[in-house]
Amino acid sequence: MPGGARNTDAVRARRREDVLRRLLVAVEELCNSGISYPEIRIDELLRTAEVNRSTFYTYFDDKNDLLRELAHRVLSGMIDSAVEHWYTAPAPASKDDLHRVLGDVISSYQPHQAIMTAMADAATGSSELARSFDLLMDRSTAALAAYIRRGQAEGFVCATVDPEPTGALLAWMAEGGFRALLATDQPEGIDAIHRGLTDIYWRGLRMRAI
Amino acid sequence: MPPRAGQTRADRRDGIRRELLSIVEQRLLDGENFADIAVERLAADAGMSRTRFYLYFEDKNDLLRAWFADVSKEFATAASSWFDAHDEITPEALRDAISDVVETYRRHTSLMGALENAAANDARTRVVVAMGVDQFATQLQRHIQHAQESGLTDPVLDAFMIARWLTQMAWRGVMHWIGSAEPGEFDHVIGTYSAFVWNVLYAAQDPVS
Repeated sequence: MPGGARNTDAVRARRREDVLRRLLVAVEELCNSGISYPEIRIDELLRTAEVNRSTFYTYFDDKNDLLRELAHRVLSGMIDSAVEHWYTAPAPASKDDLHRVLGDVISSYQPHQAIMTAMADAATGSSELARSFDLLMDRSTAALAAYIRRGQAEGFVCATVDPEPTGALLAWMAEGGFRALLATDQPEGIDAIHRGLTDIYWRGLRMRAI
Repeated sequence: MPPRAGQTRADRRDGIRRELLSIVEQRLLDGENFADIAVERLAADAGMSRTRFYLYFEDKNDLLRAWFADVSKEFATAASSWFDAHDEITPEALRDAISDVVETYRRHTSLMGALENAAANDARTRVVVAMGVDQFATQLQRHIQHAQESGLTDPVLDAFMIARWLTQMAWRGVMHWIGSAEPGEFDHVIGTYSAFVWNVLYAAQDPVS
């Protein structure tokens, strides 16, 4: 009965999605409470997510396997969206234009800050996760370096800025800074973080409106 | 290591910590992971019992936490020619100070790696590291505030935030290269970071902005 088989596959896929979504929410909740991903005990995670142990192991080998999946699903989308803002950013007609781009970048990171932190913490231990994490950071670096180069060609970034290493510094600064600063979680705090970031870019890259 | 007369418990703890960490450092250089080093064997290599180890340290991470407090002071000392320059600074002086800070880190690359690893796995170590990084940021923030008063730095900048972002850029960004970069490439990274800091804090601004 091919129709029935397809149906069962669809049910399985939906079920897997549902389990993954609940685990994602649970990981975010636990990480936001100050526990790091390596510290989360599997039974605590399963209790929070209301997922059976046997169900979990049907879909995942272990906690790092889950993180790989979450990183693949959540973080690549997040980085896609964040780097897209840099590739499509207009030449700034004023500092406000840069401020808006950075606002969009922050909005891309913010919802998934916990998973990004989980990945960064787990990446110090496991070399395979560390490689995936480096790849994510490389994509941010490439997007920022491209923005700098375009800015130099169009005249809104100073020609003396070295695109590659500066792009990498900015990418890692964002990673560490969002982690350390966004955790404060106050609306006023976020505005100050955002304004500070705009000043860092505007002055550090010696940008000018064109 | 029998206790010597005139030594306080804190002195003894510091001495033991130094001895244990030099063993740890050697093991890390030999390719071992900090997480895999057993307290039992570590204590034995230093000629002490496991019980004596736990008399002075709560756990293995406690060694790193105590050590990091000292290293934080080394960072502050290395940065002092920059942070104390309230009225006047040159790009060369800034670069030299930043180079000293990075050299301080570089002297301790393997223990810093172990610390980063421990922080990811242990809440108390995480807090200690975050506090150490924030302490550095606070020192930079004070420098920026003084420089704003003396007219060296634009007073419109939010000293708190700018100090945090620039500190994160060094902590995550510059340190990311430490393990891997070739010496020449590494100087290039220090130069890039120094130029960036210079632009943010001291370079004259385009009046249009």
